[in-house]
Amino acid sequence: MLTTKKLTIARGGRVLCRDLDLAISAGQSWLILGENGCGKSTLLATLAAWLAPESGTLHLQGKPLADWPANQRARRLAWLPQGDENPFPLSVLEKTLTGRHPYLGRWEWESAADLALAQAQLARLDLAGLAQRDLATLSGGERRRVALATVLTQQADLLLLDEPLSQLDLRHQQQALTVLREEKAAGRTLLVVGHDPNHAAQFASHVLLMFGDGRWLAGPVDAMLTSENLSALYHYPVRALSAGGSTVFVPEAACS
Amino acid sequence: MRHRPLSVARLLAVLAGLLALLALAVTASLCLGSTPFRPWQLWQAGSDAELARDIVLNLRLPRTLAAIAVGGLLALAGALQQVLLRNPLADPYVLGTSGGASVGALTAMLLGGGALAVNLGAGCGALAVTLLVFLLAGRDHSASQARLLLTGVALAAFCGALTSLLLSIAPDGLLRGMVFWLLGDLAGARWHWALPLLGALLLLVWPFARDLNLLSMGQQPAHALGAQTQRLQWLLYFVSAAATALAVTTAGMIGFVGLIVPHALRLVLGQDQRLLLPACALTGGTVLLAADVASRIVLAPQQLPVGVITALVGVPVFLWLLQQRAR
Repeated sequence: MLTTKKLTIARGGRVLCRDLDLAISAGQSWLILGENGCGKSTLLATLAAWLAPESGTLHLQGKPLADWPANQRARRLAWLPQGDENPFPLSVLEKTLTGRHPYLGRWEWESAADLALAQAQLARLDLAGLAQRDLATLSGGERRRVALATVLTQQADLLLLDEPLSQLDLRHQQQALTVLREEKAAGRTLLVVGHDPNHAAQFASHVLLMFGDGRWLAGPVDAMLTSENLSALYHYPVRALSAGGSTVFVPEAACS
Repeated sequence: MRHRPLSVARLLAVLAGLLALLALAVTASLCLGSTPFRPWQLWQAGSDAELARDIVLNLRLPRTLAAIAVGGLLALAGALQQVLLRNPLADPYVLGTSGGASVGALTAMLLGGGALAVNLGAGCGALAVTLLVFLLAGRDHSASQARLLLTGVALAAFCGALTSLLLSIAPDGLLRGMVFWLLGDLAGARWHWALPLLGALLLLVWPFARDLNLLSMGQQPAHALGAQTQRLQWLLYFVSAAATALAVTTAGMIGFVGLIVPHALRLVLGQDQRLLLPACALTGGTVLLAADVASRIVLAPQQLPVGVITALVGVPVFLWLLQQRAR
C-alpha cells in the first residue's frame, strides 16, 4: 500500500527521522508514538505529499507518490491534518460533503448518494444532530470529530490521521476507536498519530516509535510496546501492568 | 436556510432573484436623475419622448452598464481575495490593490501615455501590490491574521503617499484629469471592455468554485482532498488583480464594494463559492448602481463622485464588521 525507502525528513535544519524504511501493507493499522515535536505530523504531511522529503523514496500502491494526479491520490489516500481553523461560515454537513470532492468532475454536483454517505459518517461519530450547525459554534472536540467524518466520507483506502482523538472526551474517544476498528475491518489501512500507547491494543497491528533525533523503531505491537522502549521514547519511566489478561502502560509516578 | 448544502435548484433561484434586483436597479438608474422619467414615457411618440430616449440611451445607459461592470468586478475581486488570503475582511481597496492600480495609472498619465498605457499601468500596479501582500503576509495562518491586514493597510498608505507625490509633481494641464480619475466617477466611464471581461473572468473562475470552497478551509485540507493549491492561488491572484485593475481603469478608485458585497452575501447565502461568486458579480453591480443613483439625486442637479458615496457608507460598515469579528 505505502512503502518508504531511506526516507529522511527534516524541519528547520533538524533531522527528525533518518532512513525510514516502512512497508505498510493493505489492512495493517499503525499507531505512531513520540514526544511533542518529534516529527510525527511532519512525517504524516510528507506521506500525504504535502511536504517533500529531505531524501528517500515514497511509493503509494507501487507508484511514486509525486506521480499520482491530485484527485486520483485523494481517492486512495486521505489525510487528517491537525489544524482546522475556518474563517468562513460553513455548516457541519457542508464540511463533511467536501470529502466527496475527489470523486466529482468539474461540472458535477454532489448527488443524493454523496449526501447520504456524508450523513452516515456524521451519525457514526454522534454528530447527526449537529449537521446544520455552523462549525464556528462547535467545541474543539466536536470540530475534530467533524474533520474525522470528512476524512471517512472521502472513502480512501489509506487513512493518515494526525491525532484524531485529541480533544475528545472519554466516550467519544471510545466511539472514534470503534470507528477506526470498523474501518480496519472494512479493509482500510490506517496510520494514526497518538499520545496514548494503550490505544494500540484497541486497533493497531503495528507501532512506529519516533525518537525525534532521527532514530526510529517499527514493528508489530507486541514487539515494540515494552516498558523499556516507551521509557526511552518519552524520557520518563513507564511501567507495564497486567490487568485482566491485557497489558496497560502507566507512567511511574501514577502507580506508586 | 443558508446551512443547507447548496443545490442546483437553489443556485438558479437565488441568481434569478438577484437578477431581478439588478433589473430594478437598472430601471431606477435609467429613470432617475436630474430629469426623472417614467419608464413608459420612453415608448411614447412625440418630441418629449424623443429627448427622453436620447438622454436615457446616450447618457444613462452607458453609465448604468459601467456601474454594473465596475461593481461586479470589485465584488468579484473582493470575494476572490477573501479566499486567497482566507480573510473575510480582504478587499481590493483595503489591501492596496486599488492603490497600486492608481499609482500605475497616474504614472502612465504623467509620462504622457494614452488610454492603453494607463490601463497597462493600472494592471501592473494592481498585480504588483497583490503579489507583495501575498508574499509578505499570505502565509499568516493565525486566526486573527493581523499581519495580513496590517500589511495591506501599510501598502495602501504607501500607495496613497505615492499618489500624492505624483499629483504634486504633475503639471497643471494633467492635474485635473488625474484628480477626477482618482475620485472615482462613472460619468463617461466606458463599459465596452469592463462588462464582457467581467463575464469572462467569472466564467474563468466558476469551474474552480468547488476547489475554492476547499481552499477557503485551509491549504492542507484542500491538498488532502485533491485540490491543486498552488495553481489555485495563482489563478485567484491573477483574476482578482485583473478585475481590480479593470475596475480602477474604468471608474477610478471606488472603495468598499469589494468588501461589503461578498461579506453580506456570505452571511445570507453561505460560503459555497459556486453561488457566492456569480451572486457577488450580480449584486456588486446592483449596489454600485444604487450608490450611483444616490450620487445623482442627493444633491441634484449637482453630481457627487460615486466613490465618495461608497466610502461614506462603506467605512462605517467596515468598522462595524471589525467590531463583530473581535467579539
